[in-house]
Amino acid sequence: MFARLIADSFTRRPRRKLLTVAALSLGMAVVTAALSVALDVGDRLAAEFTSLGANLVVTPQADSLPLEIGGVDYRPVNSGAYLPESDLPKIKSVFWHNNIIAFAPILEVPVQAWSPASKNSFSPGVVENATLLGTWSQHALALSDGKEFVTSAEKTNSWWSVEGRWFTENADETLIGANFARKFAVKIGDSVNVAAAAKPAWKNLRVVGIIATGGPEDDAIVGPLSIAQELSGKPGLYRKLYVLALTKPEDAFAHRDPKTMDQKDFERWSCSPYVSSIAYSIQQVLPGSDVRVIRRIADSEGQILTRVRSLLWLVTLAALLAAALAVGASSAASVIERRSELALMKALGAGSGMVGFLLAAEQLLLAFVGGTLGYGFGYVLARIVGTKIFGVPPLPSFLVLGVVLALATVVTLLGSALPLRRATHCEPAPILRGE
Amino acid sequence: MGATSGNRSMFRRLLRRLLFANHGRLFVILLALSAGAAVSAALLNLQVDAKRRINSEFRAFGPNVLILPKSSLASFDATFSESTAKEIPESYPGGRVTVSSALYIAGRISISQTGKSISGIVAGIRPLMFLRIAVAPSGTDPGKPPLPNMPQGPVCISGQRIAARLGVEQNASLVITDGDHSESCTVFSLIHTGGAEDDRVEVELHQAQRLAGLPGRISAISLYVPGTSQQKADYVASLQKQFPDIEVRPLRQFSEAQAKIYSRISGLLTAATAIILILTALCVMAAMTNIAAERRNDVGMMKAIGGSARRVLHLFVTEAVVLGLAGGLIGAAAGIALSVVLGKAVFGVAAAPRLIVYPICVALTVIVAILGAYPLRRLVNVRPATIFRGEA
Amino acid sequence: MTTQPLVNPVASLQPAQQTPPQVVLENLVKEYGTLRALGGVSFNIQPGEWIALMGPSGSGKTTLINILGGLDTATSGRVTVNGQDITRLGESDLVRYRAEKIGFVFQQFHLVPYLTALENVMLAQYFHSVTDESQAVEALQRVGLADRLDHLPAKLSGGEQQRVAIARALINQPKLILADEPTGNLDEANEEIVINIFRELHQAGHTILMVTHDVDIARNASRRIELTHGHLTLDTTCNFLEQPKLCPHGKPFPSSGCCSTLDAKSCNP
Repeated sequence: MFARLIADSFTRRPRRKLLTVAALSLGMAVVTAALSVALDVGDRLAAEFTSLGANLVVTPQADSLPLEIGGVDYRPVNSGAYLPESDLPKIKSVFWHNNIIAFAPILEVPVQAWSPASKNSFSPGVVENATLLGTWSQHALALSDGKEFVTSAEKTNSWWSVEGRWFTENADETLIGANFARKFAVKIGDSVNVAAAAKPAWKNLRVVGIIATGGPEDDAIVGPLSIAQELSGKPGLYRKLYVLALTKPEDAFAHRDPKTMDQKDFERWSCSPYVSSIAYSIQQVLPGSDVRVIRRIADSEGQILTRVRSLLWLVTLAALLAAALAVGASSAASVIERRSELALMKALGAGSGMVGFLLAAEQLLLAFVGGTLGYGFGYVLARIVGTKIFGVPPLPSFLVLGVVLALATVVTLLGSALPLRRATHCEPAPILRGE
Repeated sequence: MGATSGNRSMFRRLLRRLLFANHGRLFVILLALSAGAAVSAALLNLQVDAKRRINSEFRAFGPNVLILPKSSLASFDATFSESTAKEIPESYPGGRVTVSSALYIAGRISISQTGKSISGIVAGIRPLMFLRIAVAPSGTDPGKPPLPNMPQGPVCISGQRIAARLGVEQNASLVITDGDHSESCTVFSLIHTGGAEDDRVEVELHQAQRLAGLPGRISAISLYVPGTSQQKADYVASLQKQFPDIEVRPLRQFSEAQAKIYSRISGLLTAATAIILILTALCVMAAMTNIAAERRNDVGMMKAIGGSARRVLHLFVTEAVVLGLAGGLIGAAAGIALSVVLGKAVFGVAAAPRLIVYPICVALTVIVAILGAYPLRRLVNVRPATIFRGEA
Repeated sequence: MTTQPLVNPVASLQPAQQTPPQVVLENLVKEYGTLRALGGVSFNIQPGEWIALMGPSGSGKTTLINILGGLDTATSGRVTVNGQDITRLGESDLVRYRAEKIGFVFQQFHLVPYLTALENVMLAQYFHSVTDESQAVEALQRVGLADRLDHLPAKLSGGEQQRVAIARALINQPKLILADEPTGNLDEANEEIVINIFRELHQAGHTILMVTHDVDIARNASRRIELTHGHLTLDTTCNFLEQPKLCPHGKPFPSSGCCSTLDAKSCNP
C-alpha cells in the first residue's frame, strides 16, 4: 500500500517533480565537477611543473667555491672535487624513490675541437677551444634490486630542445650547441674531433643533433658522460647532479631544521614529500655530497600550487553551499505547493508521522535519482574540463559519488523538513477550505 | 500600453504594493538574491585577482631574459655601459618589466672581526634584493629572520655556502678587496637559493664598481618580462634591435614552461569561473521560483478580471527585475568586500577589488531573476479556471 | 432519475417575446478527459433577468458559469453573449471580453491581498483601460464602504471583502454579472447585506446569473435553473407570461404559482 501511495504521488504533478530533479541534477553536477577537478588538480599541476626542470642540485661537499656567472663556471680545470657515479643507483633506494622522476649527472671538460666539414673560420689543422658537457641520455641505470631505471637529461633539463635526436650512449655520438653549429657551419651528420689535455689523441664524434637551450650550452658540445670522463681523465666521476622530484608544497613545518626535531616530528617530516626532506634523504645516501634545493623553482611552484588549490577548494565549497541552497529551496517549494494534498491526507485520518514518512520517502527517491543523474553529468563535465586543460581526464571516484549522494539526500530532506513540519501539523480544515 | 500618466502611476502603485506587501518575505528574498550575487562576486573577484596574482607569482621564478656583452664567454671581464640599463623600456603591452644590473668581480672577502678571508665572486647588484626568495637557510638557527632594520652604512647579502666557508653570520662586518681598492659592508641577511647566489656575496652596484675601478660599467642585465610568449618574443627582438652590440638572450627554461603552466592554470580558473556563474544562476533561480509559485493565484485572478497576458506579465517581470537589481547591487558590493577579506585569509594578501566584477554580477542576477519568472510566462497563457482549480 | 435531452425552451416560447435574448447557450458541452461536466445545455437569458443556477455538487454549474465568464472554454456548442460568439474567441479576445462585458464575483472573493480596497477596484479599471480614482471611490461608496477605502483585505470582514469584489465587478459597467456562490463564505448578517446589493442591482436592470445552493437566496431571483449531472433538469421563469415548467422526467408541471417554490415532489409522475 505504501509503495502504491508513493508510486501514485510520483505520477502526479510530473512537472514539479521534474523541476526538483532538474535542480538537484544541476546542483550535484556542479558539485561533482568541482570536487573531481579539485581533488585531481594537485597531481596534475605538479606534473606540469616538472617541465620547469630539476628542483634539486647535488654538488661535491669538498668542492671549491664555484666561480659561476650566467651559468658558466670559470674555475681552473683541475681544481675541485668530484663524486662517484657508482653511488647514483642509491638515489632510487630512498623512501620517496617513486617521487624521483629523473636525475642526470654533469661533467664539463674544456676541449679543443675541429670539424673536417667546417668551411668557416677554421680549416683542418686549426683548432678551436670549446667546452664539452657530458651527461646522460636514455641511460639505463642498474638498481640494487636488479631492476633498471632509465633516466635522462631530457627530463631534468626539459627546456633543452634538440633538433635531430639525442645521442645514443656508447656510440660515439654527440650534440652540438646551436651557436656552435652556426659559428662553424657544422650540420647534423658531420663529425667533430675533440681532444683534451688529459687525452691528446683526437676522438671522432658524429653529430646527431643540435641543441638549443638559451644558455651556455648553445656554445658547447653536449655529449655522453663517459666521453667527458674519458677526455678529462676522471673515469666514473661527475661534478654536478640535477634531480627532478615530485614534491608537496612546503609549509611552516617543512621549513624547520631536521636536526632540531624530535623523533616523532622527524618521522612526520621525512614521511612527507617536502622538497627539503627529499633533499635530506638523498644527502644521506650520497656520501660527500651537498644537496641543495633550487629554491627559485621549488618555492614558486609551491606557492602557485597552494594558491590554485585553495582557490579551487573555495569554489568547491561554494558549489556545495549553493547547490544545497538551491535544492533546499526547490524541495521546500514543492512541499508548500502540495499543502492541500497533505491536509487532505490528514483529514482522511493519516497521522502526521505517516504523512511525514510518505513525503520523506518520496524526497529520498528524488534525491537518489537526482543525485545519481547529477553525478553522471558532473563526471562528464569534469572529464571535458580535465581533458581540455590537462589533456588527461580525472579518475572516477567513489568518494565523490558518495559525497554527492549524501549531500543530495541531506539537503533534500532538510529543505523539505521545515515546510513539511508546518504542513503536517496544521489543521487540515483551513487548508482544505482554501485559506 | 499605459500611455496615460494615470495608468503609469497605477503601475508604479501596483509595483510598490507587490514588492512591499510582506516585509518579512521581501527581506528573505532579497537576502537569498544578495547571497547568490555576493558569493559569485566574491569568487569572481578572487578569480580575476588570482589570474593577475599568479602572473606576478611567476616573477618569483626569477629573470627570464639575460643581457650580456657579445661573446662574453671569452672571459668574464667583459663589461658594457651601465647606461644601457636605463634605456630599456620598462613598461610594454605585456606588463611591467623588472630590470636589474650586475657587475661581477673576483675579490678577496674577509671578516673584519676574525680576519679570516677567502677568494670569491662579488656581485654588485642594482637594485639589491632583486627577485630574491629569502628563505631561512637550513643549518642556521631557524628562529633568526633577516635583520629587522637596515643597518647603517652599506649592506651586503651573503650566499649561504660562502658564508659557511668563511664563518659569516648576520650583522658581520665584511671587508672586500680587489687590487688596491677596498670596501666594507654589513651582512644584512644570508640567502640560500640552490643557485649561483649561494656562492657569492652581493653588494650594491656602485660599491662593486668602485672596487673594480670600473665606474659606470656592468657585466650583465637581468630582466623579468611578463606577458604571453608572443609578446615576450617581440620584446626581445625589439631590444636586440635597440642594442645591436650586446646579446639579448631569453632564458628558455622559464619562458616556455611558464607559458604552458600559466595556460593550464588560466584554463582552470576559467572553468572555476564558469562554475561560479552557474552557481549564481542556480541560487537566484531558486529564490525566484519560490516567488513565482506564490504569484500563481494572482496571475489567475488578474486574468479573470480582464487583465491581458502582456500587462500581467509586465508587472511581474518588472518585479523580478527590481528584486534582481536590488539583490544584485547589494550582494555584489558585499561580495567584493568579502573577497578582499577572503583573499587575506587564503592567500595572505588582501585581494584587490576588480571593478569589472560588479557590473557582471549585477547583470547576471537580473538576467537570471527574469528567467526565474519564466514559469509565470507560461502561466499567463493558461485559462484562469485551470489556475483556480490548481491544475496549472 | 433519467433525464431526457431538453427541448429548447426558446422554441416553445410564445412568439410575443419582445426583446432578443442577451445570452444564448446552444448545446454547450464541456469534457475533462473522459468526464462530461456539461452534456449539452441550452437556454437563453433575457436582459434584466436574475437567474439562480442550482444543482447538486458536481452538476456542472461552476463549469457553466466559468464558460459564460470566459474563464474556461467549451468543448463544443455555442455561447452567444450580446451578439458575440464567445466560444470562437481566442485567449486574448476572451481577456477583452472579461474586462469589458463581464463582472465576476467569486465565492473566495479573489481580492489581491496586498492592494487596498480602492486599489483592488482600480485594478479592474487598469486592466480595462484607464484608472479613474474618483469613479472607484464612488463605486465603493455605493456598496457602503466609503470609510474602508484604504483597508487591506485582511482588515476587512468577509462581507466587506465581497462588497469590494462586487464594486470591482461593476466598475467597468459590465453587460452581465456572474456570481459563483457569492455568499458561500459569509455569515448570515453579511449574507443579507450582499444579497441586498444584488437586489438593488436587479432592480436597476442588471442581468445577473448567480450560482447558489441556498433555496432562500434563490427565492430572490426571477428565474431558477437547475442542472443535474451536466444536464438542464429544471428551468422556471418568474414572468407574468406562463412559461412551460418542466419536470425532471420531461412532463410539464401543473401550472401553479410562479418560480421559486417548485420542487420535484410537485411533479406528476
